[in-house]
Amino acid sequence: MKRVRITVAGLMTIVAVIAVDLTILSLRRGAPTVPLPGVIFGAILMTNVLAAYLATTIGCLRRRGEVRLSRVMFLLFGGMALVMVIYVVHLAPLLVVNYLNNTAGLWERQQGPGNAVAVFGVVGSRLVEVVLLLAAVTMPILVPALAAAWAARGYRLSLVKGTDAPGQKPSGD
Amino acid sequence: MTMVVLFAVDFALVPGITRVPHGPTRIGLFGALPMVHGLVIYMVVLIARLKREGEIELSSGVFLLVGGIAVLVLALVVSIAPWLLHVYVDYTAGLWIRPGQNVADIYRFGMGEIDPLLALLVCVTVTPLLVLPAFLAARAAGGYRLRLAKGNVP
Repeated sequence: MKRVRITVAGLMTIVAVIAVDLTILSLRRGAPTVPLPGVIFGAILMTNVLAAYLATTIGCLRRRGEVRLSRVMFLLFGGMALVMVIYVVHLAPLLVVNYLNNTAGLWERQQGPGNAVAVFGVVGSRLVEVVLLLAAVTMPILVPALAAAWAARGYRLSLVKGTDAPGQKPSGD
Repeated sequence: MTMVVLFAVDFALVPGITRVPHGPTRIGLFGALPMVHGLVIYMVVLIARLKREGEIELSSGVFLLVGGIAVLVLALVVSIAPWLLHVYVDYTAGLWIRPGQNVADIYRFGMGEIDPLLALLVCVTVTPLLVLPAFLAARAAGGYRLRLAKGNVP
């Protein structure tokens, strides 16, 4: 059985991610637009995954000298989707409220009238709402990242030494 | 096609920025747009070069990565702590006050309509925050290349 080995660098990454998470979670209550605190909370899971994946990808590239292209594409498109989600929350908050109401809000509507998922973080929330919100916000970020990673499978990126000057070909090592 | 798509997205985005309630959030979201455009165009160029030539400079990839992270951090900061950008603007573009006025015009950016001169000022204020770390990281990653090869990593 393979033992899980946690390096000092890995531990430092985990500590840094938790520290940033706690800062964001404490500050998000002061966010100006209504769906923003909920969406930021929902996006935190995917942000953590991307941060940890980025750290392992850079470590892998440095240690082995090569990395799968699908990993890079997952990071690239996941990051782009994350930025897009934050822009959309600011520029079209109604669109996000409607999306949340028609996804995570469906369960809540069965329980009775209310809008707790859209105003998540403004008032107290139950565990099931937390899980639904995480799922609802993670999907628009995860799906394009997975699709891009799937499209880029079968290739790898190798790190080689060579100058950046145009016209010069790098050495083969 | 990339330029057309970017212009189309701009036509949808920019009017929406005038409806954002907080001044620093408006400044941050609008000011990041030139860097976002630059990163998207650069990404398309890099992917095309990687496909055509089979390799790119590592510094290009690092510029894209760190620039993207900087945009993400700025978007998060203007979302959850807009006062932080307000302090930054206070000590940069906020120092410029038009003759005959008592308050810097930049705080009125995006209220109702977008003044082209203020838009330029906002972009000049915010872009260095995003470009400088990307340039520094790209410079540190010089001397290496990323080569595309078929097959999975063993």
